[in-house]
Amino acid sequence: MPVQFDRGTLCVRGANGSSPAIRTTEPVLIHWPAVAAAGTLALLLVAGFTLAAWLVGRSTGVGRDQALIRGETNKLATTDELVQPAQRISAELAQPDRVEPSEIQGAGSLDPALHKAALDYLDGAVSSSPVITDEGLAFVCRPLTDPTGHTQVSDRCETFGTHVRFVRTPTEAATLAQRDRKLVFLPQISGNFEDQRFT
Amino acid sequence: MNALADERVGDYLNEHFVSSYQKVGTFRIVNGEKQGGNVASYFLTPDRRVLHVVAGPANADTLLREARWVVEIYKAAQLNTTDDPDALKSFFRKAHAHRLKKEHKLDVSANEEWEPRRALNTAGKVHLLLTAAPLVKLERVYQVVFENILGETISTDPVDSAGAE
Repeated sequence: MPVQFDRGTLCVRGANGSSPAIRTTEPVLIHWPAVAAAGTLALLLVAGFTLAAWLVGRSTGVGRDQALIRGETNKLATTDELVQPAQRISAELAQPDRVEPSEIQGAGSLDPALHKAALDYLDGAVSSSPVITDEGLAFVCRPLTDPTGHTQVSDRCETFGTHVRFVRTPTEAATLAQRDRKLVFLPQISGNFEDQRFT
Repeated sequence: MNALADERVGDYLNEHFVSSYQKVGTFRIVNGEKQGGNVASYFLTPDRRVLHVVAGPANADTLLREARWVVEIYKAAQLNTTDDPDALKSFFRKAHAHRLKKEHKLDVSANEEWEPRRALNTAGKVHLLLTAAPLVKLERVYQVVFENILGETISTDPVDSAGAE
């Protein structure tokens, strides 16, 4: 049976539009199905807005975190914390083949005038030099081996008729010095150190 | 390298340093006579930064004095600078500048003419270089020391003894 609103009164008409079978004169203040539908719709809207706000907030939060990380990384990249160790490691691995005197100018935050004066004094440019590597070194000390046969850094060395103990390479000397909290003594020579006639 | 045969030098170097050596040049032997050849004795940090150089042959007393100076200055620097590399660099710059002024009469802090520097001897040149570039990496400076201060040529050629008797 269809239900129709009729000027504030609730009329229940017959299927063929005949006179109402039931008629009440009480005014209808709340139509509960409509209220329920509107409430449901409102709840859905609130939930939707809440979800949208949460998603937007989460998205901007991640962006902010990423921006912070980028900012911190950029700050690190301008400090010694990141750059110098990276450069040092890179330099150690690269072991530059050629060294130009002009590279002294990259030796740090030097007084430019003083630095220039020093270089000028030393007569500036030097012709290119050949590659200097550890391969050019004599094999001074036999490396120690552990019980498994792995080679270890040698702490035995030869003296070549001096009172100084020499390890076989500057690299090994540096490793031992780091380990033993010592400094490195490195004579650079022309000639063959191990042959006194050539030293 | 007779200085290294001195027992005092050996004992001191063995106690405070780990030693190695490197061939960077050569010389000729003509009719049994050695022509050219030289030595530059470096005192380095374990990461190959130059604290000091004795350029050219030195007797035992000189080498021992310079080695002691390096060790004492390095200790003082560590006491005053902890692990700050820039502070360590600054400390050694001042140390070399002090010796340059005291022993070679060249005050790099004064705005004096640089002409007197032409009279510097080898040791003075080293102090000047390391005042300008303290704790420079060895690979960046060895060529300047060997060629510009010692007047040698960097070379990996073997000793040429073709003219030997």
